[in-house]
Amino acid sequence: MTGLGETSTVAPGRAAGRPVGRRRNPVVRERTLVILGQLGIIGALVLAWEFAGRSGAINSRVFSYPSAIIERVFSMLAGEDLHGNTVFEHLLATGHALVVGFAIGAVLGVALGFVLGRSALLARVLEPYLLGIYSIPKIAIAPLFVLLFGIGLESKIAVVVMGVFFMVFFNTFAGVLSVNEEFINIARIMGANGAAVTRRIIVPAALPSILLGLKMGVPFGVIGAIIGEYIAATKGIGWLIIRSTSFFDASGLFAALAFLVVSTWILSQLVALIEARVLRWQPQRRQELVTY
Amino acid sequence: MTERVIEYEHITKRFWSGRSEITALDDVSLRIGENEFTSIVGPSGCGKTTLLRLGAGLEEVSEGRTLFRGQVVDGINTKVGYITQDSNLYPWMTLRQNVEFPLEVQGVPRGERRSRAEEFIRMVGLEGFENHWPYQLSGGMQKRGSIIRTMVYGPSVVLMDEPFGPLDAQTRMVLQNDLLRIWEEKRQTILFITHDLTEAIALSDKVVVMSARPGTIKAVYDIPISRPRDVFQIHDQAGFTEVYGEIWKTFRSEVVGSVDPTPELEAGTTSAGAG
Repeated sequence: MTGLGETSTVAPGRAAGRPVGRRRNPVVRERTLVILGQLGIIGALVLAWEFAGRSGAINSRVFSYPSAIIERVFSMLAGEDLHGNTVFEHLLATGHALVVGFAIGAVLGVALGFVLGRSALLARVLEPYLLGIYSIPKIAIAPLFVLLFGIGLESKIAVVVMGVFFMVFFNTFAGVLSVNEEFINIARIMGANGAAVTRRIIVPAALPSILLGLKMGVPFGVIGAIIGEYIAATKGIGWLIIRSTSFFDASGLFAALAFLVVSTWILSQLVALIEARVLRWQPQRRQELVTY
Repeated sequence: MTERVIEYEHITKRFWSGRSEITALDDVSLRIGENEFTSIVGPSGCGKTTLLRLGAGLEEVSEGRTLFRGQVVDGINTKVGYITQDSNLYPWMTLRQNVEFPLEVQGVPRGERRSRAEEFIRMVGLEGFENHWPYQLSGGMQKRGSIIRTMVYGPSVVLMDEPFGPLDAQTRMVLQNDLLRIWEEKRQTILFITHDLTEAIALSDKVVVMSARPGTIKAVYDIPISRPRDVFQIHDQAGFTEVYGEIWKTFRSEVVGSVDPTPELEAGTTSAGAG
């Protein structure tokens, strides 16, 4: 006789001990309150900003005000000429550097994280160098890339790689280091060779950390691309922000920022979606997707 | 005497713990015969797990040698099955993928893999849970999964390290019963570590009692209870009370005398006694 009293675990998030069928779910109610509170705060701030900007209480040439910014967003969406390019062309220029740099940084980060994660000796040898390079602010090293690669795409890509690489590397390294050694022992006793252990045990075990690194790498890559454009570029969102600033175009500046924030958010959600799909074997994936 | 499968010859094992060296095993010699079910009992920290890990090739001896079918164990021993205290099912594989994993790495074709995994999943009553992730299974179900993941590829020798340790008393008995059923069918050589004396007697042909650290072999007992055995009624079976009393006398002195008396031990024996 087997299976006495055995059941699979109940779906997470469902509170036990409440009669089923009642409408008022405390979890849902709390979430609604949180969202309402957050909307309330942003609504109040926007209203105050609008009022202060229009009445002249704050300098609208510096701070602009929401309705003017929204107007500019729509004008940009309609194809407004921004120093020779539309906002989409600027986004594309930034996106191009970001995607290429992200791919290079991610591949390098995962590869080095794996090698050092499996070789404690090499990790200890390289640690001071890696930490040293990591501690250099990207804004300080960007001019060097301009010298190396010239003004334009390549130097921007290099700054993105710097940002993405370390996030991915540190997380991959930590993930590979923390793989339960017993998982590996069991696989080897079962007859798995080195390749099978890597592919079927170490990679999946480190995957949550790798994906966390990629997710954190998105904003770092964006920062890298923007810094690259601050230093040396002829177009791109970062370049547009600098240009708008020097033209005292506060509405243009905020509108460009809005495009930047929304694009970054979409990219992060994309990575989070991939993560949720790949890591569906972990309990409580959905919650993390929401909190990010 | 049956053919010797595992032979521990004058094994001494020392560990470094900070700056002091600890002797875990002190001149231990033990022979495990073919098709025998042997249990090792001993207080916590007596080195019984170390003995098992030596057999699997996961540790190196300080002195002496471990032989597996006459060959010195040197590196991972892929001839044995190894079942740990934690179920250690791979969380990124479904139950079915876990059970098929050893067959997969050993190159068994997909179709045969599937049907052998299904046979074992059915044997322990886990049908319907093939596509569940480990986190969706109860502790007892995970443990069953972990046992059949090893049994499915048919190692002739299985090393088990307190596999039922963390389970509640009822689930424990159900799983002990499952294990006996599998063993009676396949007759692997099993080396089983436990600190529950009732469990050791109920399952084994031989019970080895180890001393508190540094671990040495105190005594080896043959268990005269006839098979097939009923784990649920083990106390009523002829010979149980006598052999339990005899082993307990040896065991008790080690437990009471040990630096680190184990509360689980007392709980284990008395709660199983209530069943």
